[in-house]
Amino acid sequence: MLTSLHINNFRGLRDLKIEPLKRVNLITGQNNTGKTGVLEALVLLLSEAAPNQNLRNQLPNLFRTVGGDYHENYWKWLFFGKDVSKHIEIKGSFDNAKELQFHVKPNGWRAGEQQPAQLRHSGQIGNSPCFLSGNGDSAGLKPAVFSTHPSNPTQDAVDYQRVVLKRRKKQVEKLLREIEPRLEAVEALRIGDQNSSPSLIYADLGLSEMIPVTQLGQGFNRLLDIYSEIVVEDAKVLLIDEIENGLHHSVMPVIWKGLFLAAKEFDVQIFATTHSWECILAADEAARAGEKYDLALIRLDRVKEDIKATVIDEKSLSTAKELQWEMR
Amino acid sequence: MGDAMKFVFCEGSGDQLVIQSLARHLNLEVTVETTGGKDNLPNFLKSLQTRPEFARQQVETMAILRDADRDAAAAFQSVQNFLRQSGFPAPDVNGAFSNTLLRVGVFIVGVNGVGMIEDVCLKSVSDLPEFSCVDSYFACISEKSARSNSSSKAKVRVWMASHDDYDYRVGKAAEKGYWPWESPAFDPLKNFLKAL
Repeated sequence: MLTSLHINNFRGLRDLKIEPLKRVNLITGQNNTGKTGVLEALVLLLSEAAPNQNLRNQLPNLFRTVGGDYHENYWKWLFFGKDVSKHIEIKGSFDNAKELQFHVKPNGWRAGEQQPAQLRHSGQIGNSPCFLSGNGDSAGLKPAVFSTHPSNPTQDAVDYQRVVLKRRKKQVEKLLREIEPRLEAVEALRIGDQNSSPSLIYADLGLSEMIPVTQLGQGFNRLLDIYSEIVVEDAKVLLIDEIENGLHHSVMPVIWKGLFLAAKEFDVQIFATTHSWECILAADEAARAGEKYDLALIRLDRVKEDIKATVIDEKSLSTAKELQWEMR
Repeated sequence: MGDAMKFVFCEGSGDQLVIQSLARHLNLEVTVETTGGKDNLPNFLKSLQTRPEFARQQVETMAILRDADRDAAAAFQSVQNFLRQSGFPAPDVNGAFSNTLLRVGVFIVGVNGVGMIEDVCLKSVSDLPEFSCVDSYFACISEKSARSNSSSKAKVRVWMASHDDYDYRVGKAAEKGYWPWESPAFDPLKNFLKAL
């Protein structure tokens, strides 16, 4: 599990340190303070854990929609101030006391300039070679990305069939039952002609007929999507952008209950961004219901030309709620 | 309010209303809030560091107001310690501000080193001839019963009982203009607020 994150010269983040990280990390802040940038930094740091997914090449469209010349409109902007001579450095510290650094340094290390310890080449992003250094690695910390892009019910059904294939169906159903007690089973079914009707996911709620999950609440679908991804991809770090996107605020307690369950059941670490105070309150409530308060509310603030992180702990959030402070 | 924000943090809602009314009278642009009580002050100050206005360094000046209770010096020392423990600068003396980028002031509220905001407000009307009736009331009650409550909060209730807004406490009375802001009783507080 990541315990701290230090980002240098990446996007709008010149020197951002976030510490301590918890099992569940909820990132808030005003627009253009780098919330999504933090998720992108985590993708870069951990992408070697998912070599088949080619996350680095997909980075431009993982959380954003990029048009035109990708080099000009995306890759160059990864450097602070669009200055490609800068040294991008993303450093993660882990709970095993090890560290891993991701580097992009287009001009390389000059003669006489000290290279980071245990430097090794690690593919490229855009036109720039990447490096990793440090005594840690991202093995066992495979990231899974959940963006604001809408999900595809047909692809969701394919993913769910892989959940069944991996014999984790009962585990997923058990978790979903926590938020929908009537649930008896979840199945990926193809109704009608094999060629023209794709599979869809159906839920058995003990009614006369199974119901397509798309007809159930948004919270149920979002969690099914997340649980399936965790199981199928064996993801250990969830990166969820604008978690409240498309969800009514009344669904947030269900979502957070489900995410905390997943964090515990699957031993995953969660990084989510939000603009929503209701979302923050729901996450706080779900964290308080657990044996140990394992939530870090992280607010990114613009302080002059820099972005700084403030980690708001349980007590401070409690005071803020009591005195009705605006904390986003 | 722009980038240069000024905050005054009081113990309770009564103090808050008095300070808000006085600040309005003085045409001061300041946000007045409560700390949730003196027992909550350590937790309040620690949490304050995480508040957006403070994290974004938008606050120019903040002031902590606390009741003197029985000992103004002890009350000041307590606030000064809590400020430092929470990572805030603190002034060296009561009624002053720290000479730091974020100016932090402390004012211990009371009369002659003891008491609370009610004592200051009562002092502001104590020269009025009818004020002696308040003390007479408590003397009479004490003489004819075992009850001897003559706290300043009770005195405010008795003083207000003869007015149109007979059930107002100190804060609501301030909002309604029952305390004469021009009284010298408010001078130390006014001077402190003007220095924000």
